[in-house]
Amino acid sequence: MPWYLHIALRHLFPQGKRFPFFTLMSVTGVSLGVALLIIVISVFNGFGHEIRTKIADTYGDARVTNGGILYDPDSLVASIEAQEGVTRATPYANGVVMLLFRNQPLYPIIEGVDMRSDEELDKLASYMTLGDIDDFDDDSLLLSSGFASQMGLLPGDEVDLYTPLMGLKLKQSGGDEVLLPRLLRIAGIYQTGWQRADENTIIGSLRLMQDLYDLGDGAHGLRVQFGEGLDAEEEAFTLTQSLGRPYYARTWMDSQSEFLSVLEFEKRMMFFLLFFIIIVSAFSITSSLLISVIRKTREIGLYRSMGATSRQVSACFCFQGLLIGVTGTMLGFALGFLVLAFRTQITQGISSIMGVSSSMKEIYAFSYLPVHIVPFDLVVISTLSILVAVLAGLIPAIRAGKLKPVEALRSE
Amino acid sequence: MSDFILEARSVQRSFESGEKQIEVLRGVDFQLKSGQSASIQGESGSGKSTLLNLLAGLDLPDGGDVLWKGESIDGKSGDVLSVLRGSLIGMVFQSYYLVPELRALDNVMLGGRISGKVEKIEERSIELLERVGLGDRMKSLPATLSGGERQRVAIARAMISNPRILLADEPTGNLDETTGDSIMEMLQALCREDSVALVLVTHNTAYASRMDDSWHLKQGVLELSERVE
Ligand SMILES: Nc1ncnc2c1ncn2[C@@H]1O[C@H](COP(=O)(O)OP(=O)(O)O)[C@@H](O)[C@H]1O
Ligand SMILES: [Mg+2]
Repeated sequence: MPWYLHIALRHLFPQGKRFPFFTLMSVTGVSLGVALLIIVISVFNGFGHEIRTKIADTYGDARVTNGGILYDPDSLVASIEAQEGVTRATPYANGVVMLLFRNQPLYPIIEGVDMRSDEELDKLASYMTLGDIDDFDDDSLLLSSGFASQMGLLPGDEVDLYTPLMGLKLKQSGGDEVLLPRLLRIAGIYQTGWQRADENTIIGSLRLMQDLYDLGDGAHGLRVQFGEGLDAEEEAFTLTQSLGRPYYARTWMDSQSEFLSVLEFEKRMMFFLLFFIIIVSAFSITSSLLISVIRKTREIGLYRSMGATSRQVSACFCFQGLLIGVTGTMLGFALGFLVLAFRTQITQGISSIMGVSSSMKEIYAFSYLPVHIVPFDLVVISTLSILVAVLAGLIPAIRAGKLKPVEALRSE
Repeated sequence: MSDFILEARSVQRSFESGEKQIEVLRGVDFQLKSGQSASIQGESGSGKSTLLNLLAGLDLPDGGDVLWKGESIDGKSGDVLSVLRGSLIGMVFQSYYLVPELRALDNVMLGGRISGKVEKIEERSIELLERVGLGDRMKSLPATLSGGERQRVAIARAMISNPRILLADEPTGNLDETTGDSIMEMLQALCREDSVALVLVTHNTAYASRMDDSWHLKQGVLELSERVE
């Protein structure tokens, strides 16, 4: 190790003495900033990840449409499922309907689910909070929690459902037909945790949708699931290519690009704001190293008298900045991961101290604080914090290098 | 080519102090042969330290020239001078200037590391500390050493780079008489054994008289009062 690095180490961590106060403060500043960044960004990523999984779950990895009605979805299912990378394809249909309950009208989005698909039913079952999936049939509906509470509906209630098509038929017949709504039973209530799916959506069977919308055996499109770990964008692109016009595969990211970009933007802002903590700690590094340069002026003069170049003296102080940055970042990582590992205990502790009884589940539809650690974020956090610490050490380093040997030796 | 290892030719140095210009050195001539010793005496504030710093190349003269091994140091960059100084000159100061964070042994080793003389650095440092009589205090931090012991460490540190010249600025100035005597004896012995040229700035006439040459700095001029041939 070059002597100036050795000296830098000894300045920060002297032998046989206790930890110097300056080192402690500078390192603590960096590590707190890094820990906070890691914790907040990881929780943020966790929520994002959770929401993304839920969007992907409710939307499917991609949806294939032809811009109109698929009259023979089953043959398309067969040809898509034959594609490499595709785990399954199931037909769906969706639209807007009017529900009437106690003379109160509401206009939810209805999504038709293929009852032949066990996977789809299993997924629905996993989100159900009230009712039983076995009660779900072609004459019943599943309501999103938001919609159900808005209308005051519970499983077992019955509602009248009207479709725009009914009005159209009435008009075509010249008023000869009587407008008969479809009487449907509420089979259950679900909550996915993704607000959009939980607010104004209801679910019926595909058969029901085919009846309501006069689709025959057709559907509006296919919901496609890709193999695990595959890139949905890439797979959707190949799928679109191989199916050819007029078929088009749209990914869930595509369908929610606005929402996802808001999520991304929020994360960037959060990162930016929290990074100020590290910048503030950089000021404390600069000031403590400047004080150290002043305190050690004669020592610096001595190094010069022994043959040290000004560059080596500068390196000594710059390296102290680097060392503080690296130590602080490592401790920050340790602290951050520790807090993340014990997050459940910590949040429980806080809520019990504050006397808040409501569990996470009631607020966020997650029973725990979701955390998703993105390696790239960690690389960015550590690189930036170490870089900032080095920059903080640069000013004192330049000052130390500029000291004239004689004046340094003469200083009191 | 001169046969002097260290030489000053009509060196001038003045400092600005407020409005006034103080001429500290007004044309100093000095010569020292390899392996020889010289003392410089003078009143406090006469410019002895200033001269020593100029000889060490730590400061540059306003006029005149300093020569190391017959070669002028004028025009050389600070970093080039640093490297040359590291291998040619060792310095000892009145107030030791030990690095407080380093143990005695590490302080000595640091001298070798900075000057680039790193071969067998640890063995040589231990040997030197034994020669200055500190074989049993090698692991001690400077704060736990007495003044005399600190100066011994400082001398060992100056010698570790195998310098050809040792510049000592009042090395016994902070020490009591007995300690000063033993330090001086040790310093002279070391220089003699390793044939290092010694320039000793001192107020003590007894120490000064032990040197080959005796110089006096008065009113900015250096006078040779005695030269042992
Ligand atoms: N950097 C400087 N700036 C101003 N004056 C200085 C400086 N260095 C030395 N002097 C002045 O030069 C004179 C000689 O100083 P110095 O060489 O330290 O004396 P000595 O070592 O003989 O006691 C003093 O009057 C001192 O104030
Ligand atoms: Mg002096």
